[in-house]
Amino acid sequence: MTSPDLKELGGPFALLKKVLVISRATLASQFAYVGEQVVRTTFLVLILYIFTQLWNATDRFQDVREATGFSIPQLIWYLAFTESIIMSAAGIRGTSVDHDVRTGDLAYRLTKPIPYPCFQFGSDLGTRVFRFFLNLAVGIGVSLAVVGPIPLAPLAVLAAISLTLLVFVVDWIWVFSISVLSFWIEDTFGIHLLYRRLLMLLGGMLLPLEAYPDWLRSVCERLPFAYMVYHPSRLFVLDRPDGFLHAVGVVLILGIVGLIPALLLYRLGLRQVSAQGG
Amino acid sequence: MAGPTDTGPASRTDPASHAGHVSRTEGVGRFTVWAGFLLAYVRANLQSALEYRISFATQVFAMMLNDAMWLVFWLAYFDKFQVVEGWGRNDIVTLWAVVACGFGVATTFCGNLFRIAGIIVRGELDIYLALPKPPLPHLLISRMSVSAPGDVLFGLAGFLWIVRPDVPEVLLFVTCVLTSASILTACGIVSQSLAFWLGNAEAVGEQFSNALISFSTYPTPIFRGAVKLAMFTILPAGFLAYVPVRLFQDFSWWLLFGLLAVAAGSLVLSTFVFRRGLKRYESGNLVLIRE
Repeated sequence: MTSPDLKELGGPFALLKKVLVISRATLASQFAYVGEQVVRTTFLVLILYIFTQLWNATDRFQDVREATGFSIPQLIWYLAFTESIIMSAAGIRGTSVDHDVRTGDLAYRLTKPIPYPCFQFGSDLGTRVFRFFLNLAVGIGVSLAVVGPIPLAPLAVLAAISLTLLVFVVDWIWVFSISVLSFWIEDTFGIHLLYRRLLMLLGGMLLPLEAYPDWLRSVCERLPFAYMVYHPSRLFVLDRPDGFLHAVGVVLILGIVGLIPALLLYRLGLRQVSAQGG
Repeated sequence: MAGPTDTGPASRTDPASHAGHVSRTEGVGRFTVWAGFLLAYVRANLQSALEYRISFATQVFAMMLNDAMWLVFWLAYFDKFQVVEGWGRNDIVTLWAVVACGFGVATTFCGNLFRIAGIIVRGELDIYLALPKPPLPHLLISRMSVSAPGDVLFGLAGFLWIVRPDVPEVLLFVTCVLTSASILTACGIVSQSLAFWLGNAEAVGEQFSNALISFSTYPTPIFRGAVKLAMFTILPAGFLAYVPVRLFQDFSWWLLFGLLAVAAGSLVLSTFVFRRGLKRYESGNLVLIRE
């Protein structure tokens, strides 16, 4: 980063400004690889097609709307949104933090005029926002093609996107906590995989919680994962932003709680770093 | 993991030297030589994985949980919707068990399967071309997917625990796992070998594998028309998923022989494609060190 903004030192506002500069730079660099990113959305197209077939086949035997409270078009649009949230996340094969810790690049990055977590946060957030909107655009296109339009309420869509952006911040904090475990564990793939799958299943990625059997639904409602996936996506397809403030409150608490292991593990991990020479 | 100049313990477990020793033994057939070669690599790969025990155990356990979560999803689905196009709970469990186990077997023994395109593009195939064993099997088995045993354990446990099979069903399950592993390996070789013609085919290979696995883990009868035709031709997910489940629903010797023929034929075809592609390969003239 050679932006003059990064050379400024100062308090929290200067730091926030640096983070935003990095986010903006990462976002801009993502536009250089739009073609590659579009190829990677093939999986989203595939999943939306498969689920359209699955819901149509299910509907031939049992009324899906009666069982879930959602029409088939709503279920597909819901899935487009949940998949956009999950697919915009960094690969489970390791985030850049994992890579920096494993390869020792961290020692070099610590010399930058911005705290390492803040730099990574800015960079990862820029990438994720870009991927999310790209996936959402493709998801909406496919949904329009396979099930047609559904009525969307502008206020509910705005609430869904605001909540999603907050979720990205909180998700980053938890993923960072897992990644810094690389200081002690050679490969954090297993833990990343587990976290992502918990978000997928207990977060309601493939089905809204209303489509789960009662026992699983009650489990999901007691856990935080649904606030990261189900609640923003549900807001997207409903006609009113019901439950928005409650969801924002819970996600904020999750973020504040997540800062404890993230900062603690990072500080402990830094003690493991030893750098010498150039 | 032992470094390239380490002549200590690593040399005692070097698969190539072990296989060479086996091949010199009088009266030992070709099959035994290959079995010894494979086992030597399995042992070396396992020793390498066990070098990081916590990481290995975490990855195997996480993969089992990953698969188990998909199974919970389907059990929840069938709890709410009892039947989808004639498929019930046991059918989807059988499907997941066969595909997970088949994928696990394929990538435990052939850990480089989904890395072939990258190896070709980076010119790293030179290492295998310079050694006496045929490059394709050598390339495939020289790495092990550390998380793959989790798929195998999940598939076995899920099938035995939920389906509660009798002895003939267990034998059929093992056969279907082997055919699935063979077809997956063959598809992996063909899609990754596109790198010989297309150059950087890593993304294409990845998307093909994703599509194959995605289509093979949903009830096949939900697909119709051209997609269903594709599932039994260019994207043979039907042979991974539909045919094994059909054998469990309504066993037929003809169907079983057909499945075995498809598995064997796909391996022959994939070897042919790789060999044709190899003629187009150009060395990168790189100085390479094996990991």
